[in-house]
Amino acid sequence: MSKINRRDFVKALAAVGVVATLGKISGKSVKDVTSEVSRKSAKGLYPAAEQGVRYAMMIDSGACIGCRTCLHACKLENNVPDEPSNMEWIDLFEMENTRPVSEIHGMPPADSSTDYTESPREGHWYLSFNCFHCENPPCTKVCPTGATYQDDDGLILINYDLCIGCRYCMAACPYNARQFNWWDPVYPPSRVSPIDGEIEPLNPKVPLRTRGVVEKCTFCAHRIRDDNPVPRCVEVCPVNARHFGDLNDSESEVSRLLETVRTHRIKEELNTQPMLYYFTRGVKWKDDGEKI
Amino acid sequence: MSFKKGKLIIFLLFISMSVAVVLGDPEGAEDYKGTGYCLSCHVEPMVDWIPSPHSKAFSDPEFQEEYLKLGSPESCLSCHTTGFDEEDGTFVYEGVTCEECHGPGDTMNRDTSPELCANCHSGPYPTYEEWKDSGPSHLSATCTLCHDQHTAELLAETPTEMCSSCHGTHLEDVEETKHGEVGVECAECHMYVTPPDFEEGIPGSTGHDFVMTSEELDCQTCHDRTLSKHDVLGVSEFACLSCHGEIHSLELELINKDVLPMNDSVLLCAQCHNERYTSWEQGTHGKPEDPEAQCVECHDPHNPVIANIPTLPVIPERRPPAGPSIPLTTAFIVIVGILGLAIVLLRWR
Amino acid sequence: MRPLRTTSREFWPFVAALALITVMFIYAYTIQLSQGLGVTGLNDITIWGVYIVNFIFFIGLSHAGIAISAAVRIMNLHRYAPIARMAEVLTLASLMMAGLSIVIDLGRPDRAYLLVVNFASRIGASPLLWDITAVATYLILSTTYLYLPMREDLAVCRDNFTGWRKKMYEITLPGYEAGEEKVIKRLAWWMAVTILPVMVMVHTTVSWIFSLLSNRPLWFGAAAGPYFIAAAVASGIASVVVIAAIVRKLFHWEDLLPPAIFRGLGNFLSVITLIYLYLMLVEQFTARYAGPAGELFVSEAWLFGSYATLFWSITTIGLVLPCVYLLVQAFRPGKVSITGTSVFSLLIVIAMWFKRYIIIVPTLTEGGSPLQTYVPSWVEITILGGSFAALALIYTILLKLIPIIEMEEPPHE
Repeated sequence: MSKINRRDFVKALAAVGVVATLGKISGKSVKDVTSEVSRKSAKGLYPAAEQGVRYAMMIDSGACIGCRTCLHACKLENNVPDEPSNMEWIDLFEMENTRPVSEIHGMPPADSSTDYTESPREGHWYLSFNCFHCENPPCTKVCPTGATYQDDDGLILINYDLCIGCRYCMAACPYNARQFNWWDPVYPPSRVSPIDGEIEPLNPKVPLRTRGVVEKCTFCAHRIRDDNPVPRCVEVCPVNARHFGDLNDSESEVSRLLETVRTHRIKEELNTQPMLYYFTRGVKWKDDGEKI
Repeated sequence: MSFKKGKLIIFLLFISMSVAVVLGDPEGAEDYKGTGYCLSCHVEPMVDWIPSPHSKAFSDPEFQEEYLKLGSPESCLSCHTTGFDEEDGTFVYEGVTCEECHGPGDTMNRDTSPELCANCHSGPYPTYEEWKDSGPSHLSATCTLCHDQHTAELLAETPTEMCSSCHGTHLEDVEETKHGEVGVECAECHMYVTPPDFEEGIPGSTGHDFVMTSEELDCQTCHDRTLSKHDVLGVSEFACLSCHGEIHSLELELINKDVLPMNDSVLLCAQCHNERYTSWEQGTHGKPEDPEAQCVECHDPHNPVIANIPTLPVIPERRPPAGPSIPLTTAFIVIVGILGLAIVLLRWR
Repeated sequence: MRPLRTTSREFWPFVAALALITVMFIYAYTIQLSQGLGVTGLNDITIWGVYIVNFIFFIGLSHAGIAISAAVRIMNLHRYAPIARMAEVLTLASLMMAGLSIVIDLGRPDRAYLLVVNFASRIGASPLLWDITAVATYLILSTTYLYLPMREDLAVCRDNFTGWRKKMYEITLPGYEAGEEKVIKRLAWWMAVTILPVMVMVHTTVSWIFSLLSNRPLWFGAAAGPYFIAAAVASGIASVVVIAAIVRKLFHWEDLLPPAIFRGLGNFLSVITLIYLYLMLVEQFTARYAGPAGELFVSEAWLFGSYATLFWSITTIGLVLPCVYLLVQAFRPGKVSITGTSVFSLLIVIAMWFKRYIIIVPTLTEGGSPLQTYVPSWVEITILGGSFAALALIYTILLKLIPIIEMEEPPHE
């Protein structure tokens, strides 16, 4: 009896150990195994990634007037639900001029507001951010099921079929860039666009999510991997404050911007190596032609 | 009668005629005969002269207004009247009559040199001076080459036609340009007239130097167009010419002299706004629904700043969690209370 | 064996009350299942709240079992043998509630099986999976460890009862031989040696869930392991004291559970609480001396801000006061006040729950701009109360079914 028990006990331990090391001894790193597992099951969700590409986004916080066009365009493009979830993949904060980009404490930043109704205001600048698609993401490491993964072109994506909603990735993200479906998301077949009042139908290229899963900005993977060069938010910005491109391509806008303007990333000391850069180049204009 | 009586009569006649000669013909009103005198023979010139500005030089209401406003100075009268006497400030006839140019009475001066015209058309209205400075080519064009002496009008239907009598080939090129098509006269720019400032003593310009040196003449004289932000390109017309390279054709011209059609002007904007152009090329700026849209489809090139972009609404807060159902909670508390009471009572029995 | 034979009158209303609270708990959970996690007070900034506090708290409670059993078997402190099984049953029950709590926290509990399916690919990466592995291992080992030495007591029960009870005990005793005690004793000793490091790793991996996230102030840190373990052992031992006192009073087991046990437990508790207070002091001092903005903000919130009332009342009444009392009691020879010890132990248990709350929630709300505050909703509070009620219910039922005190060993000093 005792022998059986001891043997069983030892067997159980060995089984756990073998299973744990299977991933390692098969010659791939855990990250590769995870990504492959996720990518295989996520085949239907996003188009295949391009190889040798590294996407980055740059935001000109000097030009940004906080109009929220990017926010609403993203909502329409990616079927981000309205009531009751009231989700937004892009956040916009009104910051005091006394707090420059390098002094942002906390995300969302302290001393900021999201409920301004008129912009741009004197003495303020506007901070816009979404998922930073980090090169060294803390969120993909901690996912217990491998639902969120880093794809070959640097995009951090979520396989909505694998997510169990434990929200560990949300705890790990230093930028609070992820949103959770606390309620059942409501997807009406069409919505009135707040930008131009047109009726916009549901976007069939973007998968619909269920309750209890995490979602976030995908850099419009369904667009940039297909036939469109830039995500929707970059396309609609009326003041050209958002720039997007492939950092591996030396002729792209973002590569040139990296060389010419002084860019800054948020919380760089955390070694997440985010792919969303900020710089201040543009200016904001008032109607009478004066600068703000 | 004797011979002696005849000599006395002739002597008296000679004396009276000499006296008449000596005392007669002063430069005074008696010698000016008036236009009626000339009309008796020279009908056609008179017909030309009567409606001309020369005849109305004094009676013209504009002149009267200005003259009276300035306090009726005598300096005006030397040109606007006939037979003005500087010493006593009197004049013989109003306006520039035949005798002002041809001399009083039967003088019938036939001088057609520019210097005759320059007696009046100089000074505050420096036509003569300008013409003198207008360069050797126009010096051969004396006043009467373009203007009829009596009507003072041009010897052609339009000023442009007048210019084309010499500058014919040039005009053919201009006719095909924007300014030419619209029918802008050469003289509107090349002979720009500005009035003199009598109070300050600044002469005006009558444009007879054929050069656009007047500071008051720029594109905005005719085009009510204000440049906002793009006025940094230059002072007055230089700003306009930065884009509209050639002043007659007004075509869009790049720095390397390439000409762009009006409906494909992106490269012109790109000359200065090269970073924006790069963004537009890569799809990060412009009209989302039309990636090939020209800059000018959104930006008015004369007032390019787009301000007043509306702020879109805030995303409202998430729906908060609902409260408990009151009847259920009350029932629960009541029942648990009863059970607790039961436990306590049973225990302490 | 008394509880197995007799059932007092108060038993049934008590169980009924617990069952009712458990039913409310189930009702609240069905509301959450039907509408989503939005029924809680959680939001995109405060992503973890009462459920995760419950999870960690129950895992903390479970440390009592092996701590006491290890003391008994390995260090031969046979004085504590009577409470060993009590503690192990507590381990079992609280680990079950911990597992329940974490499933309640999931957005898609129907996909919980994915944790097992993708285990091989994720085990190298995710602290949550390490924790689940450790807890599962700990649960299996603890259950085995509880069961094996209990077999001889179950045999005695089987012999002493008739009817359905006899059948029940027979089912639980497959292949029981009369002489197996010696082998089991040796086996149990080795198991105790194995489970002790597992216990340490369990709460270390629990602490790693938080302390490996570099962006979270007052979570990230190297000392999280000892910090969490001290809290766990303190709360576990304190709850064992409370249970022992209640059981002693209810079944009149004054001779089986002599005051010496309580004195010993009280001494140990005072030391552990002292260690915990020391770790808290060190942590706060580090955060405040020249701390970066995040740590300062959260520390401000703890000590002077929106969580100050909670923090100071918990620390003084719930930790410092019991620590002082127990220390005084430790150094004062003579009679031990069992009521006093158990009351202050209860204070420690309650304080530990709120202390976990203070660890988890302010870092989330104060780490940046507190755009959204966190107030637990009625669903969360019902589930919190319900899980405690369910724990008590499980414990009470087990009390009725299995002998809670080892019978063979005569209590000796």
